[in-house]
Amino acid sequence: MEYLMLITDEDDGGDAWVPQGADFGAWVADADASGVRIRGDRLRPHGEATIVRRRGGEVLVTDAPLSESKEWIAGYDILEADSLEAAIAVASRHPRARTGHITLHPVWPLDLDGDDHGDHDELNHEMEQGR
Amino acid sequence: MKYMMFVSTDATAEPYDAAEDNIVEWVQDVDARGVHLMGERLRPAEDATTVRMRKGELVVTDGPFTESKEWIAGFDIIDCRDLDEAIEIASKHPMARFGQIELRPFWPLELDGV
Repeated sequence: MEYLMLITDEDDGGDAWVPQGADFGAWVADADASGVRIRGDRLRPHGEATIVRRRGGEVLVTDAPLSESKEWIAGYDILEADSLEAAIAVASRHPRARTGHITLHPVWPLDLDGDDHGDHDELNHEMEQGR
Repeated sequence: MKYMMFVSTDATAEPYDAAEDNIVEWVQDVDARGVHLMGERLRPAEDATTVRMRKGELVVTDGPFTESKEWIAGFDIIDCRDLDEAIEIASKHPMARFGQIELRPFWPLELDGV
């Protein structure tokens, strides 16, 4: 199973952050050696995000996230794990699991070559829930 | 420059219209331009799992950490010239219309230097 693993920092709530840079290197080396980690990287601070929307045919660009948040996504990894439990085990060893949190999002492959690329009933339901 | 495109829902978006969802053409275009490293749709937010370690204890909860009206419905990783090109690519994604796209520049960790 493939997962998008999002690493989220928190202003408060986690254990105190102790800078141990080598922790990241050890985690990456371990996750790579186990064959679970496909790729991953850190992302620039959330204040440097750009939001892109199209409304009524016009492209709207906003410089930073619209919501003031005490937590923000600081990085990502792509995992290919045999099970959710295996993905949780890898995520739990990430240094940021102590000071922030890790969210595992299972991928939901789109069949781009098929006639039905959308599972439209389920997708429509999801989109309606989001409104 | 590499960017993470978080494809999200947005309460202010236009109603989803499957007939106007041109995701196949969008993927074909970015693949042909050589700017698309990968992309995936994600299962709905309630299928996510949140993992935390607190005082040495593993805490696993179903769903996202916080209740939010918007959630990440998919992602794409692009490698393009600059932010202008990233915005142009994002603006053509069908979810720019039916949701919103958040562009986040990469900030590579230099793990060999720590």
